[in-house]
Amino acid sequence: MLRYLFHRILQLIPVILGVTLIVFTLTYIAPGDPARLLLPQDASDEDVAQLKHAMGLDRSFFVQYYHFLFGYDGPGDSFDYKGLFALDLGRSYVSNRPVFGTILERFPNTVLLSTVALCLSILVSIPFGIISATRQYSKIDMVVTVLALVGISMPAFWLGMLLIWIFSVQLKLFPSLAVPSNPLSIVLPALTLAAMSTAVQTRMTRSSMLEVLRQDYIRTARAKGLDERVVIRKHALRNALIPVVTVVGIQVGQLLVGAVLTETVFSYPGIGTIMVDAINRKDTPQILASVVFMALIFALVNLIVDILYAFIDPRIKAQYVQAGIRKKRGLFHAISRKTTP
Amino acid sequence: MGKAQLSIQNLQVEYHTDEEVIHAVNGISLDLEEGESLGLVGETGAGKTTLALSILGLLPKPNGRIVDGSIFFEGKELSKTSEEEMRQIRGNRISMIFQDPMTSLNPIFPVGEQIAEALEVHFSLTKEQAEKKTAELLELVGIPRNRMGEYPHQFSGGMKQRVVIAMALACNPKLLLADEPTTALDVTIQAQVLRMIRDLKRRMRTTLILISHDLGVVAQICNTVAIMYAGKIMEYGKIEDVFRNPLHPYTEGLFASIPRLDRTQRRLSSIPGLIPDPSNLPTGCVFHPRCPYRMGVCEKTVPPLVEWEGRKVHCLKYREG
Repeated sequence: MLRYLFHRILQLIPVILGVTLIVFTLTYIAPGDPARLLLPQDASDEDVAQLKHAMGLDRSFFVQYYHFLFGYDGPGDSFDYKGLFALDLGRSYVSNRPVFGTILERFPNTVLLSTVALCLSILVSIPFGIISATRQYSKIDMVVTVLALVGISMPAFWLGMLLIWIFSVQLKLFPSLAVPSNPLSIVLPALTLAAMSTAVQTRMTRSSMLEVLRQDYIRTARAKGLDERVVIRKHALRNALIPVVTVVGIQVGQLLVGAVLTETVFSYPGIGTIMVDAINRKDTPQILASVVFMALIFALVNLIVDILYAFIDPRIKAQYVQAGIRKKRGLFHAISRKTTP
Repeated sequence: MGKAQLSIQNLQVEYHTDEEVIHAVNGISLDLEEGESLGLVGETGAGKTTLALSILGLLPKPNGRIVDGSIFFEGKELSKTSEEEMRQIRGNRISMIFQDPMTSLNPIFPVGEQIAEALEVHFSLTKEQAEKKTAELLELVGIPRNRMGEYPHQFSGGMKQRVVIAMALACNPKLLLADEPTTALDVTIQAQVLRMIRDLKRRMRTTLILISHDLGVVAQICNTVAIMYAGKIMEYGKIEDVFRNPLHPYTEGLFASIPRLDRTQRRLSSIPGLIPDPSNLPTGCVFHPRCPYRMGVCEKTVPPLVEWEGRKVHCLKYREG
C-alpha cells in the first residue's frame, strides 16, 4: 500500500511538469505585453524595452521557462524570484504581493465554498439516487431524473444569476455578494456550485444502484431473509458507491473549475476571482501560480480518490498487495538468475 | 397421499414486459413429502428457476408475478404470505443454492460475514456464537475455518459454491432449493459438491428440489423426478421408473440424446426443433411441434395429467381406460 502511494506520488511529477509547460506556453504566446501594461500609457518604447529586460521578458522562450522553474535573478531586485521548485514565482505585477501568498490567503475561501457545495451535493445526490433506483419509473424517480437533467444542462453563471435575481433581488433573502465571514451569503454560491455535481452524482448513483440491484448477490442477500433495507444499505449501496466515488473525485476537480465562474458571479474572494483578475490584467506570475496550484490540488484529489477505492473495494486493495508481491518476486528472480552460473 | 410438506397447485407464473407476456410456468402441480428429493429436469428456459424463485417469493420485481395457483409450505399459502413473514421463512425454513457461485456472493464482504448474516437474522445469536457456528458450517463444507475472513475473490469457483451451500444450510432449512448447483463447476468438483449435498440431506433430513438439466446429476441424488418443458411438467414419477421406462415422448427424446458407451452411435441424436417461444406457446400439447408421435388431436387438446403405471404423465398417448 505504501509502495503504491509512493509510486502514485512519483507519477505526479511528470503530470505537474507537463501542466507547467502547457500553461507557460499559453501565457507566453498570449497577446499583450505585461511591461507595457505596467507602465503609464505615454511611456516610450525605450522604457518598455528597459522594463522588459528587467523582468527577463526579452529572453528566449526556453530561458524564460528555465527561469520559471528554477528562479530568476534580474538586473534589479524587484522582479527576482526563486522559481517553481522553491514555490516562489515572484510578485504580482498588479498588487506587487507574492503570488503564492495571495493564493494561500484566498485558497481557504475557495475550500470553504467547495466543501460546502461538495457536502451539499453528496447529501442530496446519494439519497435521491438510491430512492430513484429503488423506485424505478415511479413519480419520484421521474422528478429526480428530470431535475438531474436540468442541473446538468444549466450553466453555473446563469444559475447563479437566476438565484441572485430570485433570492436577492426579488425575495431579499440572501445577499448577492458573497463573503466567507457571512454564512448566509455563502448559501447562493454553494447552491450554484453544487447544482452540477449534484445532478451528475445523482445520475451516477441511480444507474450504478440499478446495475447492482440486478446482481445475483442481491438475490442471494434477499434469499437469506434479510430486511430489504439491509439489502439496499449494506449489500447494494457499498458496491454501487465504487463508481460514484470516481465521479465525486472528478466532481471535486469540477468544483474548482466551477468556483472560477461562481466566484466571479458572486464576487467571492476565492482563488477563482484571483485567476480571472490575473487573466484580465495579464498578470503572468499570478496566472501561472494559480493554474499550477489548481493542477496540483486536482492531482492530489485524484490520488486521494484512488486510495479511497481500496477502502471500499477489497479486490482493489488485493491488487495493490499482489502487484507489490509480484514485483518483489520479479526482483528476486532477477537477482537469483544473475548469481546462479 | 399423506400430508405434503410442499404442495404446489396449478402454479402459473408470467413475466410482463412492455411488448409481451412470457408464460414461464404454466400450471404446475407438485407434492413433496418431508425428506423427499425431487429432481427438476428440463432444458434452459423450461421454467425451472422461475418455479424455485416463486416458492421463495423472489420473482424479479416488477415483471414477474404469480397469476394463478397456490404454493403451500407446511400448510401455509406462500403466495399470500406477507413480505415480513416471507422474510422469516427465507433462508430459515426454505433456502436456495444459486446457479452461479461466481456472482452469487457479494464481492465486498468476507465470506464468513455473509454466512453469519443469515444466522444473525434468524436466530438471536451473539457475535461470538454466530462466528462459532459459521466456522462449523465452513468446516462442514470443507473450508478451513481460518479462511472465514477472506473475500470471495480469494476463493476458486468450487470453493465459492461451497460457501454458497454453507450459507444455504446455515439455518438448517426444511426445504432446500438447489438451482443447478454444479453447472458452473468442473467435473471433479461437481462430484464433490453432489456428494456433499447428498450427505447433508441425509444428515439433516432436508427436503430437496434439485434443479438440473443433467439427468446424471439427478439420478445420483433424487428419488423422484419431474421432467419440465415450456413451463409444464411432462412426466413426474419415481426416478427408477422414469429412467428405466420413459413414458413421455419428450423424456424419451432426452434420454436418447445422452451419449451411450454401449452402443455405436455416429452422432448424438437430438430432439428436432427448438423449445417454443414462451411468449407464444403452441396450442394443445406444448410439445406437439417436436413430437415424433404427434396425432391430430395434439394440436387442439391440452393433455390432462394421467396416472400411468404409478407415474403422472401429460400426454395424449396415455389415456385412462
